[in-house]
Amino acid sequence: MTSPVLHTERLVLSAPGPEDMDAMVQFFSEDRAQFYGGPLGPGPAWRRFSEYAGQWAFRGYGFFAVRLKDGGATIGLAGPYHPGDFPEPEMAWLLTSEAYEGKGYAREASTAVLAHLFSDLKWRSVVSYIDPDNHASRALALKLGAEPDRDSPPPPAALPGVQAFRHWPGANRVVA
Amino acid sequence: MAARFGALVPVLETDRLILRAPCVEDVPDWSAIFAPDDDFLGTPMDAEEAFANFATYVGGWMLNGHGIWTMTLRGDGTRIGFTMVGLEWGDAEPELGWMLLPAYRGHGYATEAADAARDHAFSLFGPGETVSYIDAGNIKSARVAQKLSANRDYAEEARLGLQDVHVWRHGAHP
Repeated sequence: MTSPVLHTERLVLSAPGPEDMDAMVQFFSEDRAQFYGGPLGPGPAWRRFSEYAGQWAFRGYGFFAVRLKDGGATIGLAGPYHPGDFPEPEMAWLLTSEAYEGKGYAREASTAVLAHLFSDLKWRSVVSYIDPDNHASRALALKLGAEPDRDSPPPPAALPGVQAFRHWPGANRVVA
Repeated sequence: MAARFGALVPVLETDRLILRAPCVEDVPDWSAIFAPDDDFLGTPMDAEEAFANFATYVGGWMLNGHGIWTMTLRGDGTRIGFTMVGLEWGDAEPELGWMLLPAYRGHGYATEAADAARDHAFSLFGPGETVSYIDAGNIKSARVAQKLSANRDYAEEARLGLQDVHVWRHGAHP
């Protein structure tokens, strides 16, 4: 399939494929998946990842699979998640294993996706819904230049208590 | 991008039907098939569940190389149902399935669509490798399976320990 492929220094991002399934089933099996509807057994995890792929097909955008340039391992997902009950697409990210945390991968991947959304797809802004307990995601959203958005349409009922952060074009230029 | 996805999905044509790539505008009709007053498809779904459930089958095209088609009338493109070569987690083999909107049942459309989808499954897997799991009480779908020349696979039913679901096997191993 011809769909966008994003290259960063260490990562390649492209549409989800069968090669990502095992890593995603493993991800959903762990407590780390708590902010993504997990933990889930292998059957529900299989269906959830299939749903992510189907959303890409339906909407023409969705989670990119994030793979290491070196070796090709699937280390995460990053992209606009947009299930049926969301008022707008949500920029989200995850790393499939704790082993990939703390290396800047989520930031590197999300930076590339945001640039794609604003430059190639001409989106004017995109929201991220962040659970107050998800300190890592909150920190990353701020590093990516997102700001708390109190005027956002109400977050979906499926995500009680989340806070809306909004990404704008040009905001994502913070240097570490 | 939707057009690029469409390139993954072969368009199948029959005398009266065109089976095409599913799109997000098909979701309400998918929901309608699983409405609570339906006579045989049972479990109702709300709109959110219907989107997720349909997306799961659509994702099959990207993850498994086969999936669901939207069944439309040749000519005006009216959506009348869905047919699929699907795969569920833990299933030993792909499943041929069909479901029609209530207004279009009883005209042989399911048989006509599933016949084309079955031929596609044969082109992927060869004969004898695709089954339909049909509730024991679903007489209409059993009739479709018979018209497709499928045969009950009693050995597979026993192996899976199924009581209320019948396994119909499409084609035979050469």
